[in-house]
Amino acid sequence: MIELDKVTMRFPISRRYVDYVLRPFSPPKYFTALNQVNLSIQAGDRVAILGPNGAGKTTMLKLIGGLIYPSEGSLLVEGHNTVLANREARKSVGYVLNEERSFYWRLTGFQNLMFFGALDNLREEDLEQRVHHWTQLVGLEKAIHKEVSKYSSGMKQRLALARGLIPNPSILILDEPTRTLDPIAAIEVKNILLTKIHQSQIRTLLIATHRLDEASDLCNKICMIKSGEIQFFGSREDVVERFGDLEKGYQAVFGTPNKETE
Amino acid sequence: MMWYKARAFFRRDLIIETSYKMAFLLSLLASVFPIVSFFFIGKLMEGQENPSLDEYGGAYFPFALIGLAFTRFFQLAITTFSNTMRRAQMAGCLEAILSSQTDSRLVVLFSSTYSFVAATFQLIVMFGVGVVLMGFSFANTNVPAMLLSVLLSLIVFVSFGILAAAGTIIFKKGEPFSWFFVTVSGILAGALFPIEVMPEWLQSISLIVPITYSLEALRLSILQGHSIAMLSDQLLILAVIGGVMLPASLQFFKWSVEKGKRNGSLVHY
Repeated sequence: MIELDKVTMRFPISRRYVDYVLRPFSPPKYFTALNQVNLSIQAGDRVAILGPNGAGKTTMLKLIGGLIYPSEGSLLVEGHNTVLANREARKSVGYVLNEERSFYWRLTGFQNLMFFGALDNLREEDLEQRVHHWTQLVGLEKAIHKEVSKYSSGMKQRLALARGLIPNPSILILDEPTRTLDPIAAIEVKNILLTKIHQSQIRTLLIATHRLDEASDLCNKICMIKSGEIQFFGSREDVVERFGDLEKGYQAVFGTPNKETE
Repeated sequence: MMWYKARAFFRRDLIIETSYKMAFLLSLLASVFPIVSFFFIGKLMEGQENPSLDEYGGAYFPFALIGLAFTRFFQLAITTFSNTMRRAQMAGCLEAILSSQTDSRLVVLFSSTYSFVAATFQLIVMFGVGVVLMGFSFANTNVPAMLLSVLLSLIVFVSFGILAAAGTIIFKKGEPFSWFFVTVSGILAGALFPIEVMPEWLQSISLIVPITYSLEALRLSILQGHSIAMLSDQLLILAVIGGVMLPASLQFFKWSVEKGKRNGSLVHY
């Protein structure tokens, strides 16, 4: 279970050198990425977080993943406060970064997974079994002994998925998992999530995405976020009841579907 | 589990570093070539009166070899942590590492395992070349005193190194700690010349630089066979600095990671 209680996240805005000289004592400025967000996600929920670029989706996921701390409010993951008990909170979370560069390119996929698995307190034999299991599930078993530098974007994304799943977390966070992928690779990743991960394991899934098909195929709940504030949170049935369908709901909240505001 | 994690970091870096074969070979050669220059400078100085070297046996080359090899080793202890952090930031792996179940303090300590093993290997090669080709001798060495000097010095410089890594997380590029120590310590501590040849005001500044005590203890234990008891002043100073600095630097590092998490700048570079 994930509970956000009046969570606000402000990022400091870097001052220019000229400001240090002309206004050395002026107070620091902040950009508010999330503002007083309240949200309750139940175990087993599959939540799509929709919103234009800069809406606060990644910030919210990073806060839930314990990668950053809220400026105000509190955030509980499986009962653990992400600031006061950060490591305990992170134990339940598998974070699939959308950053392609989050792997060591000189290591093979297998070596990368063994390294990151060791950091998650998994021992050699158990870890190796898990690596084989998940690389097979994400369809990387043939390429697993190749250097990551030789991987395509889709393969890196699948490797990131395997890395997030190896510690067997009860919550899986995916930050725009198909953002850098071509349409075919994006469908592949979606199918892996749909057929191999969802159906074999019961886990809470949080996916930030711009793709409405991903949201409706993968998730049972929709969270629409705009300028750091939640505009809508409810089940797919709630979306249908209130807007007609997801596309209309997206249009109603954000304007044209997938229109990027930045 | 700690040992297992340290091994995982070591294995990662060994694979990465040995994949750059030319860089690996060049770094080894770069550690050996300066010795040759100081060997010939030592030859040039043979037969000359150098009262400031008398305390260390009178010959310049052994004095310089210890200064050169250990200053390089300790400088690496200072720079390796911040370099590791910066590399992880730039490679994009820092967030993935820090989102794992490993404490950030262990991450910074273990990230440098390979660098220390490689630096120890370079140190052995430098002294090996000195012994085999240039007549350097460990005949008078008091081994326990030498090992204790190395250990205490390492604790001190690792502490400064962790401070530097925290500086990298806060300031990103241009953290001031390693710059200060690497630039200033070699000169002030008398890595290549006895501090007695410097003006008195500089000599008094050198007394606040920890590497001064490290080099003095190492030279006296290796070249003159001074025992632990005879080096108690230097070793005590190093022990006090290390005893205060190591926990303080680890706490500061943890604070810098927390600060990075609070303002979201952990992975910025």
